[in-house]
Amino acid sequence: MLSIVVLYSFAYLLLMSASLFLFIFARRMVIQARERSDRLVYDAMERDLLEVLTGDDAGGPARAFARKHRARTPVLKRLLVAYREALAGRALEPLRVIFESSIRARCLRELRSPWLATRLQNVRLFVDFSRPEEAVHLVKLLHDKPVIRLAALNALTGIASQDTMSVIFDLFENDPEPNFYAYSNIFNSLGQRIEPFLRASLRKPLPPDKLALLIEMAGRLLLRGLYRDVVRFATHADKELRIRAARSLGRLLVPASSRTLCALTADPEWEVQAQAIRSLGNLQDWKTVPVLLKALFSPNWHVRYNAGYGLAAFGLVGVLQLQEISRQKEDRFAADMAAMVLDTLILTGGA
Amino acid sequence: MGSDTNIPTQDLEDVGRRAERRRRTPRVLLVDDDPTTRNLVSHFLRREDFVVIKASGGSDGLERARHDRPDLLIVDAAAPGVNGLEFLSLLKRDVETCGLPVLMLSSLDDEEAIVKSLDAGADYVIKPFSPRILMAKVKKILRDVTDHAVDRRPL
Repeated sequence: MLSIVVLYSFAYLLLMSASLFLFIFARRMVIQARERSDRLVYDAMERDLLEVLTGDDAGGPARAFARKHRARTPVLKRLLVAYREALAGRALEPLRVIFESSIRARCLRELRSPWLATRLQNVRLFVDFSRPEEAVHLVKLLHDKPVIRLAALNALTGIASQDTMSVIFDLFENDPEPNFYAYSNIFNSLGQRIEPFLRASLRKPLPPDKLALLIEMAGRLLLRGLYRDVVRFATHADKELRIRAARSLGRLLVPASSRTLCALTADPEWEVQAQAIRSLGNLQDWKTVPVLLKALFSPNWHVRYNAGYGLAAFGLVGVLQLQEISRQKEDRFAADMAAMVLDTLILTGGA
Repeated sequence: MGSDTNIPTQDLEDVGRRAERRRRTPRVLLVDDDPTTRNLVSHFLRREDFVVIKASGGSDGLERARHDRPDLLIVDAAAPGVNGLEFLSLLKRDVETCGLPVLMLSSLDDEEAIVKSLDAGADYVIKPFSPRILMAKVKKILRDVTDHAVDRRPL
């Protein structure tokens, strides 16, 4: 009886293993056959595409190509991605026509695919072929995995028309959970073209964290036209906004900002004071030397540190002032800071 | 022996003309591991009547350069095996190949790599590239080489 049970179990296991191996084998055969067939289709498509690319007319042959090959969408997408990444200039135009007249709608749908590889393939096509109105779909991908986010960023900055920038700023203003790192990358890539949009956003009652990024961008992109809008935040109730305003003013280097920055050195928060002192150092306005000297006696280390280097930026006059302070006995902390700055200058050859 | 005399003169002239044309047609060695770039560049080159020799890696490319003595080499700076800069230095060290003009075609837009390539005497085109610009550069390099050869011809 036992031997029959063992025999049946053995036969059952053998059958299961055999069917499993058969399944794996059959699956591999199917995949290989599909890959072979795709390869053949790809080669044929590539030959046709090369003819389209070397032709004098981009529109007609490209549309004919799209009509002929639109049924094999996955292969067509692979081919377009490969050629989009290899080509630049006018040679991209036939690819755009093919994309527009064959797979645009499908690619747009597949941006929401649960598969990372599919999303990546589709977003890569949008890097060169996206329209301004599609910015909405691309911005949503800024919350995706880093590789998708990067491709979405490339796509967004590639369509930097007025409409797209307007859409990007609208999305930023209304984004409930903005990815500040991604947005700062977008703004940075768009460059000084964003000035009118940045101005409009700075004048809106946005949450402080969003305003902070906008103020920061005004300084980072050296948008001196936004000076007045930035200065307004120097008296804002939010500490972070005052810090950002001080930092941006230190980058914009508008001479008139020295008065605002001097006022900020008396701010109740030491972070604001330290940033204002640092920006005054960048500004290098002789009238602010007494403010920097006074700041060297601040009870806060960061303020003293920035004041020391701010004075050193004035050259010989600043160094002489630092030397004098390093010798005085009334405030040991100010003397130590001045000595430290002088030592650093000697060591790094800055003196 | 007798069969030679039977070949019509017209055919011999055709064979001779074809051989002459082949001799004059510039030959370009393309070293790139990316099949898309290889197919794309070779298609545009063939369209301009160039003879294209393909190699997928640096070591293979060096072998073909020594063997085929092309008129121009288009090399991917990030080719597998021997990379573009190593390829260039090996090429310049060899008496057989040191005079061959090289055009680097690469997605590396690293300043250092470009300067090193230019210092080593190679021209540089960054991927993605415009086929029109690439072809214009290829023609210019070949024209310069021809002019140079004519200038150095003994009087």
